Amino acid sequence: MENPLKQFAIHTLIPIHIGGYDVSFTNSSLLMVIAFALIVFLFFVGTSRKSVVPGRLQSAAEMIYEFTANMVEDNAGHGSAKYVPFVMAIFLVVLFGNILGLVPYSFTYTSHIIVTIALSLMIFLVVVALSLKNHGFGFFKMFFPSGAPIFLAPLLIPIEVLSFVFRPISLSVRLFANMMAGHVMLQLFAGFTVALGLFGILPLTFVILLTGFEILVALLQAYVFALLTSIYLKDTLEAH
Amino acid sequence: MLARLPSIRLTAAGLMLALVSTGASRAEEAKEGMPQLDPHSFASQLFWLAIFFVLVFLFLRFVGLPRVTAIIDERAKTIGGDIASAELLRAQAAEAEKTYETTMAAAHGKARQLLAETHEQNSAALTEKTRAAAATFDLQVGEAVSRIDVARTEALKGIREVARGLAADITIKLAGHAPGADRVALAVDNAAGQENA
Repeated sequence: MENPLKQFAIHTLIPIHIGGYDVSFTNSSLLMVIAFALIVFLFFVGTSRKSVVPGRLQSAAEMIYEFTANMVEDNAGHGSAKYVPFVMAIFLVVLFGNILGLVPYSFTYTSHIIVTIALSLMIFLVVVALSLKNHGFGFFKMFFPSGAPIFLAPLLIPIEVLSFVFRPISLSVRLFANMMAGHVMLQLFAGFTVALGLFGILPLTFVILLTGFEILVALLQAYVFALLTSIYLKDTLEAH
Repeated sequence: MLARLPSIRLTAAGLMLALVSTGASRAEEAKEGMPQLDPHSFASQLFWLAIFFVLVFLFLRFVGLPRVTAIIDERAKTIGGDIASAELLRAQAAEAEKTYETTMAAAHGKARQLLAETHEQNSAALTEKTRAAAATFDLQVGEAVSRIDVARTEALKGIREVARGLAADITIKLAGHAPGADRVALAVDNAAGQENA
């Protein structure tokens, strides 16, 4: 049976080197280009007819927009409308990465920890930068819950700081682990199907069920990623 | 591993056949283990992810979302306009109904008044006519009654003459002599008086 980790391998399609760095166009980059093309298609072609009664593509574009806008509004609160494009970009990048990865023989760029950690670190840095800009030093008040007795500060502040710093780690590891585990499972059971011959019908049934489950996970993880982004962005708007 | 990716290779091949064939594949050199932990690919992934994310963000921020929100605003405006015009039409309908009811009520009142007036006029005329007719009838009845009285008196008078004649004739036939005229008249009057009593 083939090594189930091989599916995550990066292949160079066009070798590119800039300043000593290998920034070759790979299968991961190709999937990102496809995802970008689909996003542009959905939001450009889908909105080109501008009909009051929307067609399928326009409905999809509107639904994704309203879903994201409501999520940001509900979780980041008042004045958060300006964050909608940012949260939506994150949502769509993760969503298309997860979904396109389920197409056989394609590649899941969200199954690579370097991609998920880059996304979550970017979110973390955006949150910290905007918080410092909006609250100044008031930002550091969030590490000490208001109303707590002052003698608990030596205990509470390190805990709060730690939980804040762990946000990007948990965010990235959650997505990466979900994607990788799902794809390893699919590969393993698909391998059993081939190996067991006639009895392969059992793991095949499981693969079918698992594929449905993985589609759900793909949607859910994109949602969770965008949802947590909205919740973190709330800190940039509200004083503590 | 490359053999497992024919679709991607085919897709890519159309555009970049030469480049692909000369490109070194890292997977062939990669050892067993998680490709995710191979730092050789990090620079490329970060580079392309940055371009990809920035493009998606800029596209959504300046092209995609303005188009979607424009459509949604347009729809809200259309629906709002429709509701407003429906509201206007409903108000107009209510107004028309009110006018209709007012007109109807006025017409009803007028009709009732007219009816009452006509009725009054008719009954007055009727009473007048009835009274006149009754007076005429009374007069005619009175005349008729007096005529009848005269006729009866004359008839009665005639009957007594005849009765006297008869009584005298009968007495002559029975008694053989003519009674005195005043005795016959007395007897007839007595008989008529008994009969009348």
